[in-house]
Amino acid sequence: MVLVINQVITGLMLGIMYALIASGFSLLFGVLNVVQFAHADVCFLGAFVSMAVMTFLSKIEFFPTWLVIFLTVVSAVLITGLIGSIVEKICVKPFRKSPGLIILLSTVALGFIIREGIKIFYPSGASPKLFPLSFPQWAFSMGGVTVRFSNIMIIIIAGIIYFLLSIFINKTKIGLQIRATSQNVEAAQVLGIDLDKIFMITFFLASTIGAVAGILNGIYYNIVKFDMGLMGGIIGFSAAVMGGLGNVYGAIIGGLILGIVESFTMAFVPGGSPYKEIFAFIVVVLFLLFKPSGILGKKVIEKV
Amino acid sequence: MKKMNSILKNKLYLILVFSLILTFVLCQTNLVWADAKKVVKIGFIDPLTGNCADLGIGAKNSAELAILQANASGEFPYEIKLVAEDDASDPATGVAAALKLCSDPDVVAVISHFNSAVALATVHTFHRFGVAQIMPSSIHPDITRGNDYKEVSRICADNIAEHNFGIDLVVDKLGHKKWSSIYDTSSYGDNCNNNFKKVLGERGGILLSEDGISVGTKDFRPILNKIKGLKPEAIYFGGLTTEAALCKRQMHELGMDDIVFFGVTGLDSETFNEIAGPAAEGTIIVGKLALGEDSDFVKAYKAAGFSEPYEATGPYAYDAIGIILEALKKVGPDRKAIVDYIADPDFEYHGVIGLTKLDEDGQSVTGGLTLKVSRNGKWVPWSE
Repeated sequence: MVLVINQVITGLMLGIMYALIASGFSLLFGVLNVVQFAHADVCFLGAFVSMAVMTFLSKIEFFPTWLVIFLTVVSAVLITGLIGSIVEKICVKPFRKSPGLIILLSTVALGFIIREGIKIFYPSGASPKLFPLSFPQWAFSMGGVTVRFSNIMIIIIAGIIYFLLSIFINKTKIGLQIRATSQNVEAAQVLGIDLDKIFMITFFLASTIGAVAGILNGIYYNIVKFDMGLMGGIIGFSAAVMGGLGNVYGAIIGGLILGIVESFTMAFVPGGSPYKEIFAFIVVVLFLLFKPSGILGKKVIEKV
Repeated sequence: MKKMNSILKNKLYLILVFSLILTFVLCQTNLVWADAKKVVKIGFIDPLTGNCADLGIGAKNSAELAILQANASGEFPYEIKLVAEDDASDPATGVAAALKLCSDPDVVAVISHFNSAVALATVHTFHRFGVAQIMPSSIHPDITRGNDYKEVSRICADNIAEHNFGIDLVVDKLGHKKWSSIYDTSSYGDNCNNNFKKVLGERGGILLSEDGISVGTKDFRPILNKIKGLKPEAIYFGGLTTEAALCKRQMHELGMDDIVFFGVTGLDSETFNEIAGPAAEGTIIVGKLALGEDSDFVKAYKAAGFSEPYEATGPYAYDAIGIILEALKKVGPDRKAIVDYIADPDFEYHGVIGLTKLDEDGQSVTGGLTLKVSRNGKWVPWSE
């Protein structure tokens, strides 16, 4: 039982990482109706941006450590958000009237550019990097179940982000416009919604959440590498599909399911650890077969 | 006319006799002259062009250094020459080079090949010609263990030798018998895990669990949580630095510092200590050869003025030539005698990489390996 609880905790952590990436995928799919395949690369770019900012800020001697960390996180998140908006300007806006496949292709290409760019231009970018931020090593144990400070912090941070996101989407005017756009682009346009603005804001929003995901990943695993967006992208996208593309809450559930499946496969399937990804993707395939619209997905009615 | 004829005949006769004598004399002098300047050749095949060229050139320079020193020592009544051929890391080119060297009767022995694929292809050629072949750096176990060729030997450690070397310490000396294994599912990691299991079984160790992970895995906590419940005395990691360091770091987080963390040369890089941080403390590995700046070889190499560094392959190539030179001293320039000398079970050689001792497969059991332990964020040689 102790083992099960411990595994649920590790699975939950993994799931939250996936969910944070997946919700960005879902948010973007909602307005775009096309998958933005470079999203996970933007997320991990956020982690690299934070390392660069931190290196820069640590040189300013009269800054106390807490201020350095605070400024690092805030500026990394904002810079990544801006990068997201620039991505929209370059890779999406020119093709908005083209077939969806073109945007798909341009974002896949962008993913390559980001990965290779980090590899080449970040100092010794090809090798794994030790992430400079970390939570205090504090933990408490109760009957063999260990809960660490980092576990609690990750849950709290993810909770705050989802709380803010749901307020933004459901209670603000821009959130309403985003929802309208994701329901029907033409109708939204007719109602006078500025699509350029909505697209830009959605990309900014998704990329800031992505940056938090990237930084939390770095903190939790202590390491970031230029190509982490590749696997992160596939898993995040799968989680978004499971939850129902376009639905942010579905993406959270999808991410958590994948995290728990992976962690349980490693712990409880005899000889199962090499196959954890396989098991996770079998679950994805099963969802696609039996519930293609996803857990919370909207029914798509083909209009003729 | 008749008289004339007989004089001619006589003259012809004389000329014949004279020329015979001359030939004989010439032959004699020729022999003496050749003996004074007799050349004994040692063959060398490595990649001198292509992706692995730097390693091949480092080995070639070191081999040349050994021969330079031998010729200068005056211990040999003939001149020794290195005949270097390029295999370009390509098996077909390697076999052609091997044929060329073996067909030259002056070549008494050959050191060869950085790439295992090339070595696996050429062992048959050397066996057919009965020429001793010493491998300084190719690592595939089958090169020595996959055949029963007396001619083939290797002075660097292969994966099995590495595991034997380490398990000697952790199981036999430290007495940790209960193990869990974590390995990456690449061919290297898989191979490591298989050799580890084999060696552990031979030493009477118990394997409680084995878990494969894909390269790039970041979360080892689910596996470690499970392993923690099994209470092993040591954890084996078959893989490379990044994953190993993350695993050790997470072991520390989960309070598993009392369990020995052990790996082989795949972990021998300071990156491990860097990523694992303070959690690295106490990790035991079988490390690669580490030569100090003050070792004779390094000093001699620098003094010889080669423009390329000696690389990881240099000291091994230097010792491989050293073994052939030792054989020349003991049994003379005879192909078969050299093969027998090296294949002798009592054969031992003390060189730059330390003691070289070969098992019945011609595989070195020592191979310049050093046990290392992580202390204060650095790999240091193990001491009792």
